[in-house]
Amino acid sequence: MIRKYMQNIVLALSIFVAAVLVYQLWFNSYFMPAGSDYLRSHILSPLARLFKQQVETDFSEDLHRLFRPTQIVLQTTGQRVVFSDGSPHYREAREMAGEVVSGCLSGDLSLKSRESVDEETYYNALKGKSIYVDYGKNCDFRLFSYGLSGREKNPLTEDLSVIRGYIINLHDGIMNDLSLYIRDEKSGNTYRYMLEANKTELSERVDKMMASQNDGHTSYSFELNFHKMQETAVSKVLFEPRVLIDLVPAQRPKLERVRDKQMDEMVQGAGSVDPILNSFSINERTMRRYTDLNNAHVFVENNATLTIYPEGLLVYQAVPGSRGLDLLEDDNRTDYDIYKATTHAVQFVSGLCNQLSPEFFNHLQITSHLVDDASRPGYYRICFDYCVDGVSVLKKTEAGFESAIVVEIENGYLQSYRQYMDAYEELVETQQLSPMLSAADSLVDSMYEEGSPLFIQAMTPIYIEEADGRIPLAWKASVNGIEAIVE
Amino acid sequence: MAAKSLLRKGAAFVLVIMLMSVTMSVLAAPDVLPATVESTAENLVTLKAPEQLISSTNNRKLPISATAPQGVLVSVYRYNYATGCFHKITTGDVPLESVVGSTMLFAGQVDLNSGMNKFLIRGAYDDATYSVVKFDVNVLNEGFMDRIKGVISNIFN
Repeated sequence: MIRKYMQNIVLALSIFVAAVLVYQLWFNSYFMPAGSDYLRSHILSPLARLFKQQVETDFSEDLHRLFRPTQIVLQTTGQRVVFSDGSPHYREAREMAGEVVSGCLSGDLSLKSRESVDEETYYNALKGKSIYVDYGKNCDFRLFSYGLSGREKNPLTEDLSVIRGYIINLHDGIMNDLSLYIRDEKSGNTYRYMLEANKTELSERVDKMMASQNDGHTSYSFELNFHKMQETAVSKVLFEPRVLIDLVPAQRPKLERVRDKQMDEMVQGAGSVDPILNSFSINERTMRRYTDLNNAHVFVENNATLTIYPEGLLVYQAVPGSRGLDLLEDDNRTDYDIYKATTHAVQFVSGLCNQLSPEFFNHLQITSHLVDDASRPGYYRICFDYCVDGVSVLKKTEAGFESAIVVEIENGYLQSYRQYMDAYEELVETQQLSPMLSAADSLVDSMYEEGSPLFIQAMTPIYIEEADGRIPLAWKASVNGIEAIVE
Repeated sequence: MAAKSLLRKGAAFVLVIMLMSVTMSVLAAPDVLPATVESTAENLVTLKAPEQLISSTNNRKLPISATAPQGVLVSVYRYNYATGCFHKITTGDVPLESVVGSTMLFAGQVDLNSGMNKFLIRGAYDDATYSVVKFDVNVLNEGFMDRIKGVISNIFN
C-alpha cells in the first residue's frame, strides 16, 4: 500500500519536473527566443481571434463602464433634476435612457422618421419633458454606438460622426412616439428621430424618479442668454448653450488618499511586479533591472523603459526612435483611427488595472475627447481620470494637472503610459465649491483680452490633489479650446 | 508706551470696522421698493433673460440674467399685489442678489406663480445710484393646454 503511494508521488513529481523542464526549454531556447511575446503573438492571439466575438463583447462592456455621461438631466415643465455619477438614481436614469437609444441603434425600436432641425428646436427640446444625457466630451459615434449596443454600424451612422450627448423628448407631438435629438458636433447638424416606442410608460418612469428628488437650481446657458452677445447687454464671456450653470454653491465630501495594499507593496519594491511586467510584455529573463538613486525601480528592455516611482507613479516610455509595445493583434496598421486606438487603450487599461486592483478600475472614467485628430494622424492621447461620484481627481505636479492614467498610442504601438496608483475615499466632512460664475470671473481676470470675449465650452467641478496632500475642490474649464483650472 | 501702542491699534481696528459697516450699508439693497421706483442712473443693469419685458411661459421656473458693470450689486424683486410694492426675493433667508464680478454677469432663478408675475431687477453702486428694470411674465394655464392636447391625442392614437 505504502509502495503504491510512493509510486504515485514519484509519478506526480516526475510530471511536474517534466513540465518545468519543458517550460525552461521552450522559453530559454531558440524554439521561443522572444519568450512570452512569441507565445502571445503566435499561439495565444490566433486562439483569441477564434473567440473574437467574446473579446469584443468585453470591450463593449468596458467601454460602457469607462465612458459615462457626466450628467443626466430629467426635466418636466416645473422641475429639473440633475444626476451626476454617484448620485442616487444616476444608474437607473442612465439605464432608462440607454434602453431607448440602444433600442434605436439596434433596430429594436423602429425609426418612423428623421429630419434635420435648427438649434432653436434643439434647445426647446431641453425645456419640455425630456431626458438629456450629456457626456461632457466629444465621442466618435461608432464608439458611442458600440458602447451602448455592441454594434458599430446602425441606422444613424450616415448622419452622425461625432456626438456629445442626446435628448429623449417626451413633449413633442401628440402621438405615443418618442423624439430622439442628436447633434453631430463635427458638421453642426442636429437631427430629430421619431421612434415608435411607449412614451406613456417612459413618462411614468421619469415622473416616478423625479418625485423623490429635490429641485435643483440650475439653468442652461441658452436659457440665461449667456450663449450670445446682445447689443444692449455686452459681456466679457460667452458659454456654450448647453452648459448648465449652477446657481447655488455646491457642497461635496472631502477626500483622503488611500492606496491598495498590493499596489503599495509593488511601489515599495516588496511585492511581485509580475502582473505589470506581463501587461507590458517585458521579459523577466532578458530585461535589465535596477533601483535608481531616487529609489525608483527601473526595468529596461530593448525598446522601452518601465519605472515604478516610490510616490506611486508607473511610467512606461518607449525608447526614442523605438515603437514601444505592439498592441495590434495583426499587422494591419492602415487607417489606424480613434476607434482602434480606444479599443486598444481600453483593453490595455482594463487588463492591467483588473490585475492590480478591480476597485481602482471601477473608479476610472475616460475624460478626453474620443475623436480623430487631423493634425497628427495615427497618434492618440487618451486620459482616464480617477473619479469619486463622477468628479475627477487630478494630481497637481510640476508638469501641471495630471490624470490618473494617460495612454499615448501611435499606429498601434504603445508609446507611453503613465499611471498614478493612488485611490481616494470620501470623508464625512464636506467642503464648498465656489459658485460657477465666480470661477468664470477668475477666468476673465486671467485670460480676457479687450474686445474678444472668452468662450467657455465646458465647466466641471474637479478635485485637485496638492503636493502637501490637501484635496480641495476646483473648476476645470475648456476656454477658447484650451483647458484651464480655476483653483 | 505699550498701552499707547495698544490704544492706537484699537483705534485703527474700530476705524476699519466702521469703514466696513459703512461699505456694507452702501452695498445693501432695500428689502422693499415702491411700485413707482425709477432709475437714478443709467445702464447699471441690463436684462438679458427674459429677453422681452413682457413674456409668457408654461414653465414654473424662470431663469433671470443680467449684465452690469463690475462691482454693482444686482437684486431681484417680485411685485406683491397685497402691499402694492416690490419685495426682495429670498430663498430661505438668502436674498436673490449678488455683486457682479469680472464677467459682468448676474444669474438667478425664481419660482413663478399662476397668472401674471411682475418683477424688478435693480443694479446699484450705492443707495442713491441705481438702475431698475421692470418686467412681467405670464404663466400660461397648463391644464387647459393639456386638455386640448389630450383630446387630439385620443383622436389620433
